[in-house]
Amino acid sequence: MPAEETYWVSLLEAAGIERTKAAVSLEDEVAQLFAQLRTPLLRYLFTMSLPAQEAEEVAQEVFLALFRHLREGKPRTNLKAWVFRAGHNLGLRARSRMQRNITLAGEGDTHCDPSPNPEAQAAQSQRQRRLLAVVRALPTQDRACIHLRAEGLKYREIAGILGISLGSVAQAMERTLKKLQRVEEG
Amino acid sequence: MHAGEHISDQDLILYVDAELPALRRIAVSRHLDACAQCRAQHAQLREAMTGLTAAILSSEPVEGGAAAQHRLRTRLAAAPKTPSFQLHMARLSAAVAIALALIGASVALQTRNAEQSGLTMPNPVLTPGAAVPVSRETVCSASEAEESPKIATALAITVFNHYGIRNPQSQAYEVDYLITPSLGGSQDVRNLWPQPYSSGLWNSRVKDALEDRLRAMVCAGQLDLEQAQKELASDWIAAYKRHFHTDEPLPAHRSFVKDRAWE
Repeated sequence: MPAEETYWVSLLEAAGIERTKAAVSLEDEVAQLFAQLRTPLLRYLFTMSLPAQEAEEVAQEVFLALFRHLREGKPRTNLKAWVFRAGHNLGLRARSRMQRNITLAGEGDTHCDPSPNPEAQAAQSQRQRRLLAVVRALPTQDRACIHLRAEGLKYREIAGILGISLGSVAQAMERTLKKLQRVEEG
Repeated sequence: MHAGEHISDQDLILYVDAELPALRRIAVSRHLDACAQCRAQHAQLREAMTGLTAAILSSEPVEGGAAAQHRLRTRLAAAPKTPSFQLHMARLSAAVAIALALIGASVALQTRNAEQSGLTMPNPVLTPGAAVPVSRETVCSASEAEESPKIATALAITVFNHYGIRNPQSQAYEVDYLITPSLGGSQDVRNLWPQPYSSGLWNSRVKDALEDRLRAMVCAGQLDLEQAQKELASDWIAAYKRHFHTDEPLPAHRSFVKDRAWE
């Protein structure tokens, strides 16, 4: 929907004029985006050391938030980056909540396997496993950058999602690739 | 990038990811055509980046896509379909603010127009007229030539403020009593308004003439004091027309001077 139309629709909604038909299609739209982006988002959330169940919960929250965002007629430019930004923020919150609970329960080990599907792992080549081992050993921010890049986001979008500068994104990419090259050479 | 200098890894990475600005991209592209060493490094980096992307995307997440989709659908169906109440209120208050601004602007415009055209009639809201309890005898025992009490500067400024007149020009206005004190009118903001001296046909001098006529009638027993006050407070121009049997101010009254101008 063009921005102008969204604007008028929100004016109509503000005036209390019902838009039931369009709202139903908004649900469809969000469900469709969920179908497209659930896997990429979960993949990203796993890199944040969220276990599968927590990550699923965060994904649900992200798309419910997306529904509210669109319902209120807010900008719909680049929804993919929006989804990742919301996922990053909600993921951080879920993780700190989780870590707090674990500390309270007295369990020391907060490490979660970011790749929870053994079958998928089996299908990976030797080289892919080697590359992923390097990625898993990266500092959190570098790992986030390289994952978001793999999901097709531009550097500017990555910077926005992580709240860092464009230069920091480029530097993270360079650091990671140098490590990879060393591993491949060695 | 100078001639002979090789391309940095960072630029090569940005080049692979199509993140370089157009001019820089062209320069890198030209250099790659000419430099085998950079070409090799570029190929290696591109290979690593492609492999990395493939590796990351190869890790499929847990099953349960259909269940998750179903769960989201259920939750979306339960979500309110219209913007939140807070948003409603925010939009409403924005609309109210705009409306108030428009009203403010039109009032300001009216005030300006009034200032320009002359306030021949007071604003009935700001100046409804007010009188002190006084008898006909008291009113008529005062000497006819007695001037209305001079209005204190502070009170005059209050009146100007009420009418939105800033920096009133000296001698331009008479801060006039709507009901003249000679007929019991009180020195009260509700009974005062800034009447331009010069502008307009129905200026303060004309009204002064009416006040003298009304007082004479009250004292001659031809008119109730209360009625005289009411005539001044409701529509003094109509009263003037009625009492002087004219549709226009009489020439003698146009230059009638009695009350002092506000200085």
